[in-house]
Amino acid sequence: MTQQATPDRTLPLPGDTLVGLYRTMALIRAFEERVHELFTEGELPGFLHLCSGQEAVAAGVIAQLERADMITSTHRNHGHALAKGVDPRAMMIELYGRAGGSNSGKGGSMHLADPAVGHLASGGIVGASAPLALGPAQAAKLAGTGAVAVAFFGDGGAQQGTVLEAMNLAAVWKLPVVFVCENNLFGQATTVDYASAAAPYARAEGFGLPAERVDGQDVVAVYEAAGRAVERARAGDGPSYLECLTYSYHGAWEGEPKRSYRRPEVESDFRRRDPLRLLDDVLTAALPDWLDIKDRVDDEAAEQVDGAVEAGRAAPYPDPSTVLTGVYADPNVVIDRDGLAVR
Amino acid sequence: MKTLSFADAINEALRLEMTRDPRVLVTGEDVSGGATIPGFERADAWGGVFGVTRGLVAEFGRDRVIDTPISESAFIGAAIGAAAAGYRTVTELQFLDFMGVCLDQIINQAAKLRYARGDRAPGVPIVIRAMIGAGSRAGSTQSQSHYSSVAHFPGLKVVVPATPADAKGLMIAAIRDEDPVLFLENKALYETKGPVPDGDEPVPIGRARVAREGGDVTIVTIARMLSVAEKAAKELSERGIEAEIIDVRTVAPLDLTTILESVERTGRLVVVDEDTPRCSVASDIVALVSSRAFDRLTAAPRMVTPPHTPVPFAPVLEDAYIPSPEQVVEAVLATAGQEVAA
Repeated sequence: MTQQATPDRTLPLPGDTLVGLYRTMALIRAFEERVHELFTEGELPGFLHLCSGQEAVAAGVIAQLERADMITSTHRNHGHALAKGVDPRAMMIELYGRAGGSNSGKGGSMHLADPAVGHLASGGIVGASAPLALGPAQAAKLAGTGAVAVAFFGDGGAQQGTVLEAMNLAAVWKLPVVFVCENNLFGQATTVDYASAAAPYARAEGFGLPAERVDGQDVVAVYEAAGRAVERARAGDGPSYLECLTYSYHGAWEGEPKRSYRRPEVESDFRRRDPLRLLDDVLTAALPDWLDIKDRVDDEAAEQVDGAVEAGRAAPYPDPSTVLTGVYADPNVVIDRDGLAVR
Repeated sequence: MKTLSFADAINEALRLEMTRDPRVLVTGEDVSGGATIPGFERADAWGGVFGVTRGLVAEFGRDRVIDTPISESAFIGAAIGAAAAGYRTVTELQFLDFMGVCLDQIINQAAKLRYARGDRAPGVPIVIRAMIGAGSRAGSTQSQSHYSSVAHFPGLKVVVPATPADAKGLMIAAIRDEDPVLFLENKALYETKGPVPDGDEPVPIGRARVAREGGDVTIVTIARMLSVAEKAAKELSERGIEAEIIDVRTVAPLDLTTILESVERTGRLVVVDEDTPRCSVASDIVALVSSRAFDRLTAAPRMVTPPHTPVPFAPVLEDAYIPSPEQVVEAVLATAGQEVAA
């Protein structure tokens, strides 16, 4: 790693954009590391899949989106939700299983979403995000809004037939959608080299989709590649595919029994190219007041997460009777615990 | 009031709702029928295998009546996603048997998105049309009536119309509903004609209909089994037994109230169902009535269903597979301690 002494080199992107990308990544990192601590200490319940190490993908792609652009996400979704603007307090209350959270205590970690900020869905079914994203893309095309949709999935999801169906249908209907494969090298403990007969992005070319593989640790590379894909979608040129090579520091899930399947040399290589560190290097070299800005941004992220944790701890537990609410959206249908409509 | 076939009644409901609400879309395999052929929409577009969506593409255009590849998971997922952006898609699965290839989108995404995203989340207003029913010599994978397997999942509504009037009214209700509705069409009913009201009044989802009044026995029917029970009721009437027939119309959520009200008067229950008997809507109705109206029952409830086997092909085997009026008569007489030969 080389640092330039004088802040005179040309920035790869406008300074505000770079600081914004750092801010998003810092919030995600602070959130995930706190969730890791709280889970390890036994304070948080749940089946948690953290994205520390993968921040550049969520931050870089979603920085290219407007609020009206919809995303669909995976079980490893905290970063996407934070980047898209889901309230961290509401998210943390949900993780605590308390009342007033983002999903009313009905979703938890794997189902965080908020359609009001353009986050349609996430969930525990690997690959399901891809077909769902076609809908808002189809709607945007029919209504001529210029909006786009982004489907996030992993290298594991890339092996699901439903993702391939979705790529074909998106191409047939020429939809404004971007398929983003977060290739973190493992589907649980199974390596992508074993599970995928070809590189995920190489399959996209077979459907006629422009496809790129980028360094998912480098938020500038992700941002620029996502920009090209989003621009094609907005221009009416149809779907694209972006594969981002990255790494999950906390493995597949919190509390997984052992990490022996992860080779230390691979992990240290990714940690050496930590996405926050790489961007920090760029900004250190380029912005004379970066250290001050960085301190402020890091403090703000810590404060936001502190506030979220306080909100989570302070929120009341949900009323057990609310388990029956929300099965149907139809206000005319009230069901009892046997699933029978109450007249 | 006019006379329409079951298929044309559905077509009229789709046409009325597409006219009323520009956000209503129709998607599926061959719903237009020839979307890649220029000019075909005005000439001879199929409108689905049995012509249920015929004419819609000519009237509403290719942007709203959209053929799909044979990729059920992708296009049902798209319908769910489009609902989040304000559209209401009526998507066609063709045969309910095909749900195996897209079950995740139906039972995990459509059914649960509203609940898992919390109480402030919008619903998932989509309609999934699919055919059910044996009798067309199609064998085991295009003939099933396995609505029990979807009625099992919280969050789904499952409607099973038996008459052209209900087919129209329930389709209107399904399109306007804020929740995912499986709209199941027994293909043996498509040519059945019956009176259909003018206008666009919905038939409420979740309400059974008393199709025939009688005080001696309650016969509950699902979809096409209504006509089987009606034939049985005529013969029973000649034997001095007046059957009350309740057409459930919706299997999820089930209108148990109407069934219980009838059983409390008749004391006898026979459920006629074309689905296989184990873990079924029919067995569920028998269990619910037995546990909630045990004291009012004067005989053990009976089910008339196919055998618990796949649907066979050979015409002789398939005809014997489908519940018959004779089997219904026999079951009703058994609840009265009588035999057919008597």
